[in-house]
Amino acid sequence: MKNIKPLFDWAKARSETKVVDRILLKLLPELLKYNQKMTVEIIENTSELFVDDSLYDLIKQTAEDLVGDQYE
Amino acid sequence: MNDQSQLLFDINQFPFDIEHSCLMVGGEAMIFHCHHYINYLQRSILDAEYIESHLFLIGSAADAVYHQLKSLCQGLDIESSKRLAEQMYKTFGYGLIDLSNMNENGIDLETDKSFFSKTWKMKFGSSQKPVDYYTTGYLAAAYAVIYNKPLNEIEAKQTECMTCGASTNRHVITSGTGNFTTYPPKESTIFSTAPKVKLGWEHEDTISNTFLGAHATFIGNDEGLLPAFGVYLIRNQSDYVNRLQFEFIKAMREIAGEYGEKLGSELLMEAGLACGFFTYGGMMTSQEWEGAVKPYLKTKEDWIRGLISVINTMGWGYNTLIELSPEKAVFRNYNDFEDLSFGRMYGKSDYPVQWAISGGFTGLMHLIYNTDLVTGAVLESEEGFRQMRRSHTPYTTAMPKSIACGDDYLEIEVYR
Repeated sequence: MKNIKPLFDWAKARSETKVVDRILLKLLPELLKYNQKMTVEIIENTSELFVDDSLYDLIKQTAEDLVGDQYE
Repeated sequence: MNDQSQLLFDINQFPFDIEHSCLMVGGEAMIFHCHHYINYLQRSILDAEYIESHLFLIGSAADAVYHQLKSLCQGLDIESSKRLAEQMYKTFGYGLIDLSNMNENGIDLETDKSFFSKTWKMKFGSSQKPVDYYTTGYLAAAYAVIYNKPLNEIEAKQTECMTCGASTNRHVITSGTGNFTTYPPKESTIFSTAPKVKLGWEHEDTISNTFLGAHATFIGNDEGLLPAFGVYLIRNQSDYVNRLQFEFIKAMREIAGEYGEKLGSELLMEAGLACGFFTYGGMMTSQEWEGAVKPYLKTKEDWIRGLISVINTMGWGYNTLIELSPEKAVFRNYNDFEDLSFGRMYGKSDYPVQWAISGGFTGLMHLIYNTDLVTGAVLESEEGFRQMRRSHTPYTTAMPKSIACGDDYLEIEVYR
């Protein structure tokens, strides 16, 4: 399990305001597979949000595609 | 060369319905949108790659245009119908199309004047897939009307797009088994009969009367484009653009229920917010505003009342204010264009559908209270939009009343 919160913060700081919404929308079928129904409100109101490693990788890839940069 | 000297489509032939703040052309309600709104909406739909959205991206346009052209081309011969369809397309700001080569078998059309391709590139850069679904649907409808073909037996596809690096857009329309969604007949428009709460501002009528009829001056230029207020406008068939929203949310709900609806709704509202920022911002920094509205404005609240007085002449229904302060506003609309569309096409809704107008008013509140617009700041850049959206005092939007859900009017609360 990995904490996804810093990745979302990174994306939001470097891209359009609704980039997190776009990530969630793009990955809706995958989120459902992992039983995840995270929303922007949930993400913003938590300091840590742990997800399965493979879901983390999917979110990271999508975030990097949308931001146009690599997340270190 | 086409004989374009004969004017077969003239927007001035269609009177603005002052009572309902509505404009009907060939039986279709017409509304303006800006390129920021429509491209953001379309990109949000395309982001959901797991939805077969091309079916309704083309189908929504084809359905609305089919009904419209069917009405407008009554009694015209084939060549006159082609000219009317070309002129209407250009007048509405979608670009230029030449239907000379359309025949009984369809059309293979190329154009380098496309609102969708030009403005997608302006806003988002290049695309991996063609983006001018509207024109594909428009051509399918024109072919169906002019050659009396069933809409559900038409194959329509955009094969090349300037956003993908091509020098022109290319659309191929033929008879076939049908490759986009067609829809059942629509119901008549049901306008609200509820007594209106007026804006209650002494300058409302003066400003509205100044801009009444001004919509007819917004027509496509020699390139079929409609630049105004720092954006590109298009005059949409209301049912086309709203069906995009409704079909998108319907698909999202089918996949993930209320969770899917929430994810989709947030982006639909953001599309409206972008429209509010860019188009309302452009209007409020225009020469027309400077001359005809600004002299009446003393407070920030007057700026909002002034903007409402102007947009009530644009076909989006009658907007008014129930409450207004920097902390909270309650906007009300009688005959909102999104709700009326929903009623015509789907009947009653279980959830509010006024995402565009809600986002627009949220953008307006941001502009007035979270930027220096009223003191002359220029804000029209994408970076300006981002800065505004990152404000430390963002607004929240709620849609407590909805005509589509059975209320007499819609209400939008914007608060922080």
